[in-house]
Amino acid sequence: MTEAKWVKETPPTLFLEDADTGLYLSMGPQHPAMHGPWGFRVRLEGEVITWAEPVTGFIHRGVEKLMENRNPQQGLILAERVCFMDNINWQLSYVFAVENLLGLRDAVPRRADWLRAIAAELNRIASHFLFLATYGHDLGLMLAPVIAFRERDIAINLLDKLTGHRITYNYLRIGGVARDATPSWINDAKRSMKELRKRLERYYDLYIYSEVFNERTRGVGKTSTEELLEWGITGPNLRATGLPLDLRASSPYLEAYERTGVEPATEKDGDSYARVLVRLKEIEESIRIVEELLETLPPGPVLGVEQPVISLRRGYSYSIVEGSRGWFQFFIVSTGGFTRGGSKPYRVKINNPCIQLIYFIAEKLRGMTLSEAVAFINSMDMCIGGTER
Amino acid sequence: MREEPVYERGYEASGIPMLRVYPDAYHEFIAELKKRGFFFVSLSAIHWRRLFEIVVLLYSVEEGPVLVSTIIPENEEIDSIVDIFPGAYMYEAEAYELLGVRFRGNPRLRRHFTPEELGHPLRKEYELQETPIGGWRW
Repeated sequence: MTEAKWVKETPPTLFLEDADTGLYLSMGPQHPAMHGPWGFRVRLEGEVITWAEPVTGFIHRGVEKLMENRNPQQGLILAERVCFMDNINWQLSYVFAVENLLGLRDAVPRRADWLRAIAAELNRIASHFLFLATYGHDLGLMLAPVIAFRERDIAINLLDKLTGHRITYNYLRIGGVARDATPSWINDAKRSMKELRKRLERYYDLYIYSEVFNERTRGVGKTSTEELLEWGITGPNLRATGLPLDLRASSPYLEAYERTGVEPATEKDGDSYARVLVRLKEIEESIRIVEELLETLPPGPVLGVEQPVISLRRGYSYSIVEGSRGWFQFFIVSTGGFTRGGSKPYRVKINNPCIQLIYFIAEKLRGMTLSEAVAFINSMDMCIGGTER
Repeated sequence: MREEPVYERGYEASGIPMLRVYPDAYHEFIAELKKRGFFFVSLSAIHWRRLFEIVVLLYSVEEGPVLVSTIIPENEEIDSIVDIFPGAYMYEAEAYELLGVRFRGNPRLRRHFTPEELGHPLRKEYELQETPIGGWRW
């Protein structure tokens, strides 16, 4: 790599400045290697990036403000629309925050607890396959999106049969889940998990043992544990640096996770290669968890609270859930009180672990070549829809 | 730093300890917690009509999560913690953009998500509006 000349931070300009010999390039929001409507304005010196500034602001929907004007039951639908890729985990986080505030955690039946964990793990599998599909496509593995979307469909089809929807499931309820799993669905799921485990082996051939993949990801975007902890980046990106921090294992928020136990998938290198490998291992672990939970699914009801729940107590409630991209957090502040249409939360704050990545990536881009940048940015698995909310 | 920066200890509904600190001790208190092995997770801001409440979630692998809360008057500034935890860049910028909290010492305190004309939409006096504001500028 050539030695990059550091430039002073100046506001981005559209055209070449007289004294400036660098080339300014818009990488996104319309760029084949940027997933989601966001991007970077980068300054290039040859092929090396010497300056990068994020470009955001295309997908802010004001979910927090909308939630402050709705009762908790209506908030359920908004909660899963934070990020479409892993919406069961987002809804789980919201449901926990409301249940904790109302003191309803013990009212959730055991079968609902199990079904929540199964749905969350299936959604995690679907989310990680989507990552493998898009990331493989960025690196030139043109077969990757075709076969990874097919495997993602196995998880999506199961969730479709369980919940009635393919993308936004609206499956969880305050105090349980919406629908019960039928015996035929359970058999179907067992068979699908076996099939998925068999097909997963092929991904090691496609990614890990592939020459192209190794060349483009080994040593690219190296991160250390200390650096990521300072930035507050959690999830698979943190585990790829060797720290086995997984909330499902360290403080299980569902009884089902306590029952099965979760082995955090770790890698020690902290580069793009390790981040892909961690996600592959996580899919494997999720398949194991789903299989075990299907075997031990307890009988009983799936909803323990009368619906709809439209009241809130006074207080603060913070919930953290280990999602596919890090810790999904909901912070609900309520002043109590009951008006027409139910009580509304005073403040809802959605904290997405992806939001730090905007400037983390921008700072790491300096000194990288443009092709390395593509392999680095997308390996962090950023969800801009969930970030801007 | 004050002798005792914390003036109230409690728990929020999920059982996470919540410490209320004086605003002038807030920056140093976060730095102390960093030395004890806590790392930054997220920052939230609440608008209490005349006041702002800043709530920071920190996590330590040994000791678990802790919430640090501080309350400032609406028209005053608060020290930024980006020099301790760079992860707070976007959280503080977002609190500035959506609520109007001003952080002293954060160089990236600008609008990221919404157009200038929108104001600070998460403030309590801000009503929901039917007509769209701003729009595309080519």
